[in-house]
Amino acid sequence: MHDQRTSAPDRSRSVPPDSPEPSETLDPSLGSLIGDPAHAPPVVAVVVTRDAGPWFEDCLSSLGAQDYPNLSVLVIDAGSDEDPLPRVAAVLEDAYVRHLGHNPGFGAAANEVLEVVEGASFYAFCHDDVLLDRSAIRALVAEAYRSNAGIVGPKLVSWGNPRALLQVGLSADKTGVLTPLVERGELDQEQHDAVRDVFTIPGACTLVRADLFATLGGFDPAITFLGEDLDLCWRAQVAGARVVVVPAARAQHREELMSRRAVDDRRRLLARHRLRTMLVCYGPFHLLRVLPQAAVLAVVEAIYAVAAGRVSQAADVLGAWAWNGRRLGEVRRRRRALRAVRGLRDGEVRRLQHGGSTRITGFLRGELGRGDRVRASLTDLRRGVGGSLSAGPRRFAIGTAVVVALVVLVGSRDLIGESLPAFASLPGFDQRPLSLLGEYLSGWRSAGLGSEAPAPTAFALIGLSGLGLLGGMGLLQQLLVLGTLPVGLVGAWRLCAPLGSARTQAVGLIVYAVVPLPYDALSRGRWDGLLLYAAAPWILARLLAATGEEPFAPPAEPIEGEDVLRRPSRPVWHPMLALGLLLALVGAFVPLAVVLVPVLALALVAGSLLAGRPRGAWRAVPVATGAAVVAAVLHLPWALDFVPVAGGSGWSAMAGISPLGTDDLGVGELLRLETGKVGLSAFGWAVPLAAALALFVGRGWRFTWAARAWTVALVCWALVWAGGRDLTGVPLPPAEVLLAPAAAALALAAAAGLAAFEHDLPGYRFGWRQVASLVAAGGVAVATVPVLMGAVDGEWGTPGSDFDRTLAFMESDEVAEAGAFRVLWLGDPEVLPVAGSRLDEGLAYGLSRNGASSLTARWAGGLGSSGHLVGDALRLAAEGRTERLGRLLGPLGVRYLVLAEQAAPARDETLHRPLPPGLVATVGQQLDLRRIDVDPALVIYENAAWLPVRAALGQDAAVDAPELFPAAVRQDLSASAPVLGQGSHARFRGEVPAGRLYVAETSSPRWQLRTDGQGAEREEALGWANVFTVDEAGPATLRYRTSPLRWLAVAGQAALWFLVLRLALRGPQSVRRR
Amino acid sequence: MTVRRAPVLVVLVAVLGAMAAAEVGDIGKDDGSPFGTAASFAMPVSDPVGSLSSTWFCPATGVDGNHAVLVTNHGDQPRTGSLTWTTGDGAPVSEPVDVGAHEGVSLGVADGVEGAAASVVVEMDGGGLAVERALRSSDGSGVTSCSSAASDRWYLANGATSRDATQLLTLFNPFADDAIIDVSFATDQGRDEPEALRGLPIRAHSTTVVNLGDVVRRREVTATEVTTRRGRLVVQRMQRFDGSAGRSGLSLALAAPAPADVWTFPAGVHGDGQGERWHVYNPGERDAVVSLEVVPDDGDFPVPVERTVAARSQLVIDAAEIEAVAAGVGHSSSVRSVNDVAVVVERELTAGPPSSRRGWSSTPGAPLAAPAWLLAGGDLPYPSGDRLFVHNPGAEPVRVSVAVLDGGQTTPLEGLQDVELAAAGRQRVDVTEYVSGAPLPLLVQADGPVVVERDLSPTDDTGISTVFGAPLP
Repeated sequence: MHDQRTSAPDRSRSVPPDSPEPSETLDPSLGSLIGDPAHAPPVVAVVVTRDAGPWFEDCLSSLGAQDYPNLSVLVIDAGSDEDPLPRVAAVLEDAYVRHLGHNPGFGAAANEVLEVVEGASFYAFCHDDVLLDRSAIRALVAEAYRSNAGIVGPKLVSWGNPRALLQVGLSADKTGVLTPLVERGELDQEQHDAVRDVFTIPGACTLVRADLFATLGGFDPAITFLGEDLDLCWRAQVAGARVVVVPAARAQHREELMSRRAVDDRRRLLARHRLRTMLVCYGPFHLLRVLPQAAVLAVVEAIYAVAAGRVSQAADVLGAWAWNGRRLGEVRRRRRALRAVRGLRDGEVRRLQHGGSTRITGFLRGELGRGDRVRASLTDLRRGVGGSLSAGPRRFAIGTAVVVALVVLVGSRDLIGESLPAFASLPGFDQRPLSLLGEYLSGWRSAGLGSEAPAPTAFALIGLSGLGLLGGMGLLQQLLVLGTLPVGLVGAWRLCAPLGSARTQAVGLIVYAVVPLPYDALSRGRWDGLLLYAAAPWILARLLAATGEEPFAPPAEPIEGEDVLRRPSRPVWHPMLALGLLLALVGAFVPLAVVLVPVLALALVAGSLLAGRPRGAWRAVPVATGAAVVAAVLHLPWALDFVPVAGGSGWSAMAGISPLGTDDLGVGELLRLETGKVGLSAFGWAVPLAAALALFVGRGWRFTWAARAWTVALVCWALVWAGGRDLTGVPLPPAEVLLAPAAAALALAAAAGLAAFEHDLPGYRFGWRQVASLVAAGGVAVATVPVLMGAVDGEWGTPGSDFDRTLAFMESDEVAEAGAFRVLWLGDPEVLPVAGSRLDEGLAYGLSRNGASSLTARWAGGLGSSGHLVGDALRLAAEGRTERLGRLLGPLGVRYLVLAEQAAPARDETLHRPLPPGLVATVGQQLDLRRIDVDPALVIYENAAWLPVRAALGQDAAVDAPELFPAAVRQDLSASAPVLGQGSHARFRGEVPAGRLYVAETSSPRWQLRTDGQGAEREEALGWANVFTVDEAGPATLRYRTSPLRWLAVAGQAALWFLVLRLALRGPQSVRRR
Repeated sequence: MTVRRAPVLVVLVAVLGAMAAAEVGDIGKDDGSPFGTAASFAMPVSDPVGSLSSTWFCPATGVDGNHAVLVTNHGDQPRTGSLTWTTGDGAPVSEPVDVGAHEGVSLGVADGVEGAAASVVVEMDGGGLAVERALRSSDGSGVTSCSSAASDRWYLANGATSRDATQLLTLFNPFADDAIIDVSFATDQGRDEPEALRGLPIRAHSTTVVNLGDVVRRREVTATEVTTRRGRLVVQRMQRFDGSAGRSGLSLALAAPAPADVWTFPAGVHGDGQGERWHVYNPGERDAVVSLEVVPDDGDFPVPVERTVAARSQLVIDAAEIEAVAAGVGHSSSVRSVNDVAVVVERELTAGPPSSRRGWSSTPGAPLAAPAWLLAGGDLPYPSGDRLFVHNPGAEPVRVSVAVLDGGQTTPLEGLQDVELAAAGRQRVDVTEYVSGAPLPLLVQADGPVVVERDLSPTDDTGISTVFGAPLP
């Protein structure tokens, strides 16, 4: 570290040509005092610099041009690569330059002034990118005297555009979140030119009384960048000093510091420093009050950030607490030091804070954590609640959001906090997290007849989430089912945010909230539909952003060395990874969503062509395709199950938790997005009506995006329509899954309609367009009626009970003692509580174990080599080629056949799908099935010829035949005794007799039976199962030995998720910076 | 900026309009799942040879005497299986059974089983079978098809509870579940729904024989309808006349599991002491208009006779009252619903002096035609004639061949190969002229759909017994 004085420059030459003249607004007596060099208090301007840009000379020149007679300049170089001395010397001959040799941060660097300067009355701390008016220092000093202020600051305006206001002081909320007192970019008409007390002076230029600065110990050296101004001002006020903004003093600011920090770096630093300042500055009482509030806000923000796919933001918010937790010693020391100088109570200090929470306000405006706009949000977020509420559109938007939230809350009131019924694809979260993780890690998949297919990634995601909630699977169910509604609504809010107006956002939100789709999905037990409803607007937003088309293009940024703003050219891989990650999360439950997204991208292109604006939209295609690939890769090795040639289950595995089948909806129902009983047909037309406005009155991007949105919706409708008529060649998932993007697209189109109303309509003469606008507006209002009516019952028509209770007898001790068994479900795939394999049009079958369905039985696929057996047996019976279906199913461990024609017990009005008469007749013809009457919604048969899944065979049992059915139909194996009843999933133990032991799991040499330390010989039984020969009776253990390859695959998958997560969340800038 | 809205609007309207238009075209299309259609059947049919297993149900007769179960296999592989006898009480009794390829066997009642009320389930390890049940008792002899499936409703269009008649309804439940049934009647004097037969439980694996004379007033004609509230069963009727009122003899008839639009009877004659009547029962809620078409072996086709059968009632058409049906001339006949209201039709045959035959028979016709029919054969408990009637109900001539299954092979009958059968024509074959001994299993094949009926009336006793073959898929 060393100091140097520069050589003498020509000061007159150094004054920028456009440097404004001083404003003469000072008190005459003060003016005369500080105008006299002999009496003017000494002021030292402290400029902290590091690798300053070309503007640096202008900054120095403005200091040199100050009309204050007793001003010295100290330049502190915080480790610049290139020595700034020559540049300083060229402008200011008697400036001092102090080299630190490293960059300790702005505060710590500025604190050097305490070491090197003596006798100064004021320090003027300046960034190296400010341009002061000639009279700025003089005005600040004068006001400091006049107001007896400890800290004063100038009015900050935009560099190069002094009529655009940036900041005139800052306010803050109780948690230290800053709020601007003027609208950024607001035209400066001297409307804010009153001296006033503020909470914080922005750090760009701050005049601080030297004794106060020394008393406070300078800036907090631990606050490297961002937040040192708040901390200093807060502490100054605690010490009893006033903080005053002096608009008469003006400084132009380039805000270059913002562009020198990474996006997440800035967010992280702000979060840490804000909390540190709060911990230091509040007294014990207020700290106890405010700290819990800050903690709750942090948790909420973190949850929101995770839901929004910004895990890094959540990490930053929560990490701030950990960071400060590690520095509690420092904090205590600083609290002690501040207590020593405390002059005001917290209550008095807080008078200059504003009430409420700036973070919540920002959240409601959809501006929180907007990745590409963090720079803007740093200042935008500093808007106060008062400012928000004072603006009409904002008030309307926030009010709308609150009302929508209330309606959803009221409509779901009977579901919140209650155990949700498990019906259709809505699962009961009946498995413990560790059990799920165990099933994920195991190489054995127990669904169906068992297989060696890889387990779905969702098992791991749900298991880990359950662990994160300390085993609270009920809460997890609520979050993953009911949480989809708010997530989808927030998504719609954000989707429409770029359209510019708060009203457009509100309209988009309303339309997305009033479509019957999510409520129908809930009442029909369509978890898949709900998940897509939650994800669709986020997916669509990513696709729209990928187009780079106005207004979804990233904001323009200043280009180094140029005085123009330009949109950044971002690498394509980042949106690809981000969308891929989102798709992977959704795809864990509904893999077909991965396929759907490229289709949506193509629909955007088609819409662009129709609108005559093909440029740009094509960019969404590679992003969507790449994202689909990323999602598929993230689901390896599970994704291999989707590939028929690789031995996988193919298309059926793509279903995930979705029942593949047909949803025969008419065009009217499609347009109204009405799939169930929530919704009134007449009112439902209002949504497409409102969404059509932009097609008729929109201009420019309003029309283009409406056309694209309608094309997306049209493609979704066409898919559902064609699927319902078997025109697609493959069965498709339920309508809710495919219609969710259509709903999001209609919300966007409706929002574009309002934007057209605001922007385009004034350009037309009065005529039908104005009438159409009124009709559309009325449509939005009318569309709310069905949802408001649907909200009355408090549960959106969801049934009050499920089959778990109805089939509880299957879990009785008496039934359990007879041995492990399977339940064969038959019926329309939409009403089955298990993943169904298609048997015929509108008819599917699926298996559950030992009773009603479990969570893991919801995922399709994993059929394995024996997956066809159940279907084959049913077809044989249906064709009249046997009346011994029970014998055919017996060796498969099928004890019960449940024919379901309703998704929930009969007493609940829910989805009803009559059973095919042929099926009822077929099952009724079987000689070995005994009917059990439990609930009118179910036709249950007990198989008199069933065989326990793990059974000791009788003497006469013949299971050596290579084919199941010819052997099974000839013999009744029901006399076999159950064994190995203890254990779960793929490990069982118990006493076994000598003889042959039948294991009704798909044949695999990895099944091993050990008795008394000896392995029993295994053979394939009946062409599909396992039979062990036990020589001596005794305790035995049966288990499936997972292949080491499975462990490798799991490790690889985890590594991939980590890598993609990290890359997607760090952003392209961070990677480039490395 | 000029906005070109037309392409967007046109495409949107066109696609949505096309979808809506296609929907209109879809209206009325049956979109129900066809799964399990094989489970609904109109008459006993033989399972495909490649079937995994086949099951036949032979309800008890309710009459003491000599019983025989005739099982015929026309496949190339021998079949093994079991006969499970089920009585009104006691556990079912099973016994193994083997049937060689291209052979038929005749099996008596298993030891320890009471024959009169012993129903039997025949389960074999493949298809290509036909099963019949025959009876000889002191009151007469008869044979009838066993059923290849159970049903939740059964119909009989004829029957009598008159003073000289005994009508036994056999209700066989071969399943593991109890069945609950309702029995109702349409008589010549209106409908009757006896309280005793409403909600009647039929226990699992049991046979219940109901003497209708105990629950229905004396009626000349009783059409019977059995419906289940729960479960399925097989229904057979045994009708016996003691001769005190002219009619005598015993007849077995498997009930029809479903009404149909057309019923065909290849055999038929009246005059010279022989009577022929068609009993039409309309179980529907609409009146049925039916047309009786008789095709004589000689002479002109008579004009079809149309009758209206009121809903839920029965109607009798007597051949003697129709001038166009020439007496003494053999004929085939069919009853067809002309207004799509399905009905059940039985044809009643009676014989007495001056005819050399004596007896009474009534059996539902064939509701379908098929190109191949299998008729079970083997030792009957009574000596019988053996006449075969093949009727071509189509509008085109067909060629028909007949073969017997014996000695492990199917042997074509010389002179009965590729016999041309004119449109609507019929062929009567006296099988005893071609083969001797007990009635052998017969295989009738044609190059078009035909209907085949066999007359196995006893030669030494009272009785008329006809049986339809089992269509082969």
